[in-house]
Amino acid sequence: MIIPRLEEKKIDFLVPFVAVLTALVFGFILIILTGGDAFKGYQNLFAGMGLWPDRAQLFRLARSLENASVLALTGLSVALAFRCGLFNIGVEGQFLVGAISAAYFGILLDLPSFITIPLILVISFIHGGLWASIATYLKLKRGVHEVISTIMLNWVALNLIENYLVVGPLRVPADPGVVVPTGTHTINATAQLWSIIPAIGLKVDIIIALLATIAIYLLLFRTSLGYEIRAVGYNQEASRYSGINVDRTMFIAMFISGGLAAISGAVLVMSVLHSYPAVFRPGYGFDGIAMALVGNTTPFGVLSAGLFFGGVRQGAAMMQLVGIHKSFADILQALAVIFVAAQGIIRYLLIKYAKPITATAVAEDV
Amino acid sequence: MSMVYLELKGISKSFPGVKANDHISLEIEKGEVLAVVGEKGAGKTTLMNILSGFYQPDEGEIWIDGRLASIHSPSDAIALKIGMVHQHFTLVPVFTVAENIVLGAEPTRFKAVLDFKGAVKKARELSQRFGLNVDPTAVVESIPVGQQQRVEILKTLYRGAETLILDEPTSVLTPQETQELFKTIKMLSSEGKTILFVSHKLKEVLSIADRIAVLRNGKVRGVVKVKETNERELAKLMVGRDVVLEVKKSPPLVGEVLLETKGLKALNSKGLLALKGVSLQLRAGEILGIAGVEGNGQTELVEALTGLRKLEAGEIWIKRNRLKKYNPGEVRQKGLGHIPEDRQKRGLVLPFTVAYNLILGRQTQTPFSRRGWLSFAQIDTSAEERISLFDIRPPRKNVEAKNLSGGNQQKVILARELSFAPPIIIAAQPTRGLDVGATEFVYERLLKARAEGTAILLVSLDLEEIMSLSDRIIVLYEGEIRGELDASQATEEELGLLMLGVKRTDEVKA
Repeated sequence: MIIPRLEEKKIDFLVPFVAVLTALVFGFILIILTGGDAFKGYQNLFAGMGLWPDRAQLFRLARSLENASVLALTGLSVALAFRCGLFNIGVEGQFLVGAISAAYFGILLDLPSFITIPLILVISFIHGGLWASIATYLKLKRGVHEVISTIMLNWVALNLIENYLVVGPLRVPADPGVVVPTGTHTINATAQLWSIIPAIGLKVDIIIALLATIAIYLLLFRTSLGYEIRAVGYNQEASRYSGINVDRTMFIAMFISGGLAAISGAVLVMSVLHSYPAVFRPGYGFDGIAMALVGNTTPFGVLSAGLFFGGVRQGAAMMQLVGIHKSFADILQALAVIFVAAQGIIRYLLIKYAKPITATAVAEDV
Repeated sequence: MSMVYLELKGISKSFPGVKANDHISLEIEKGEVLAVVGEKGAGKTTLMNILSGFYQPDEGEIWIDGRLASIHSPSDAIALKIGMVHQHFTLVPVFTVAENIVLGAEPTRFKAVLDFKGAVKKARELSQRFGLNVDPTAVVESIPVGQQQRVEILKTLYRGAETLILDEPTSVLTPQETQELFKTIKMLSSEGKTILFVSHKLKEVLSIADRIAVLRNGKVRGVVKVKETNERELAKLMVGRDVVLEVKKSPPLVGEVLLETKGLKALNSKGLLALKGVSLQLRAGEILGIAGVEGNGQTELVEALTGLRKLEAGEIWIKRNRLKKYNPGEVRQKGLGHIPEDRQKRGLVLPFTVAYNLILGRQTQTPFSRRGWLSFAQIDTSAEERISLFDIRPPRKNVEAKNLSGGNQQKVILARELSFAPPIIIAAQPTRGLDVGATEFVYERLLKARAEGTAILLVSLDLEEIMSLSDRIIVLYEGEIRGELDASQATEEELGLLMLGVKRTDEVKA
């Protein structure tokens, strides 16, 4: 197959969009097949995302952005590890570690807001990074594949937090005789994220996600460390030959990955939940994998995926009004991942139909 | 006997921007071995892909056995008894030899149930009939490359091939396996099979073919009989100009010892002692050749020297300083450049651009980065300079390395390793898989570095390469130095004997 380079780049860029569009089309058909009103459903979907001009538009947009921030951060976490050739399936666990860390320090610290909030973010980042480092340690010293160890660590984190910390040391004492689990105390007001537009509840979480995206972009594509991370991800052997310390690079990439996941959890606690709930299995960590895939593991791609699916989550809630279950968001997300995974087909179609227009091919392998 | 079996008439095939085949006409007799030679990109592979049905020609006709043939797909080619053995094998690694041979036309019972016993039987019959020794029940991934190739050949014979196309068949083989393959080819041609042998290695085609067709830029530049030609004429036809096949070397200006090893011992990847105490000295301005049959410790020696393999015992000294930390970064810091044996796996990050590959290993050093931030202006200017200095094509710094030809990939590695003038270069099989033009280029650059006072350790399986480039030659045999010779006095026979572990230098001299 002869594809000129520039075109190849363009296709790389187009694939996720085509995948999402195809997912929307299939979702549409799916609603019709199950006897729903697809037009009304999609209208509600977009309205729920905050893309439809009505009275509650801004409010819904704010909720979409809230979701987007959390999804983008977990997506960045997966993407960064992936760039270094590591499959961090433990984002869920690192997310929970970040969330409990934010809840704990949000209760403990009573300093001015401009110190508390950055401090908590840094602390959760380090906690998440350390938690992820357990997997790196096992991989580098004991040869345990990170997929296995991170999945196992997810359960360790969940049970450690939910079945020990939240019902033990961090438990809110309930009235005698009441056995309802309560979760932790509410965090101090100084630990709650600042608002941008209080009226619609828009907080700075989307700005944190945007800053993280920019930071990861700069790290990956502008620094020598990022160069090393990508070199190791593409070709470990050549990296080792060239003198790159592969173990160190992997350790750093995994640490930052875990840190990003933790910040995501911390942001959710500091922005929306304000405490660590008694039962908390959000699945945002696993959604991160979807964001990374749909975003083609590029930072801004991941952010875009987060924005879109953050909206879809919000929109799907409104689809319930016309009798479509809100799990439609998951269906859409799953479809998009399938089409990204099956991108061979999309590429083939793009090349086939785009070729007559841009026939400036250069033969590179005759 | 002189009956034309396969005839190509005016075959043309264009790809956007390139005329890969330009009115190619060839006649091949039954039982003949016709070699098709040409540089990379000359159109050999395209022509073979047309014959085997992967491409359709834009123009031209193919006649087989006096009949006009239309080949629209690989299955048409199979029906016309054309079998192709690809350069990169198309075997299923986890299947047995027999399963691979019958794949696509499996013997069945009751038209539905796979007949494994029948497959094994057929495979055994075939391998016995053609004298191609392979165990039909062995799993393909567990047998050596040379045998895997036999399986490929058997696969085509199983489908009844009369014409066999072998695309660069020796590029993956050791010299011994190559000899075995040549025996097979001779035997097949004596059985009346017509053989197209695609290669760019002139020595090889001169020893195996009956006639040689030379392609350049998609055209046939000449068809010559082996008996009436020589390497020089072929090289000229191939490249289009005179090629310096004999290496012209200035007398060495040998300086101080830059690299010294003392009693180096290392294990191979199976955990066996592969280096049994190797001590050598490498001086500035000389090329020290390491000869030996593959697997006698060369790989381990290179890996030990470059910090990739743990030492069991022994010392490495660079410029009179003993190396204390053995890791690739440290060794590189001390001034050792390395041209690895496997350029795609170890020399390049293929999805990276040429510019990025040119700074691999120096990404944290000035001027390429400053305080951790990459300096793109410096990376780009340096890349442009080195691309033109080393004639890397296409001359674009933002092309991904995976899109370059093998020769140009090797040029990128040379440009990276040589342009910073490291005092020591370890070159492991620097011309493996390269065509004449690129090989010439590599020799030229290595000799230039030598003239500038670089100490070069050349490890190669190509005896001729070792003999023409080196100033001194060391022969490794079972992890030990079996002998050291002055390259100007060494003969091929002498080296051959040492490589087989027969004699020591002193005995040879005596």
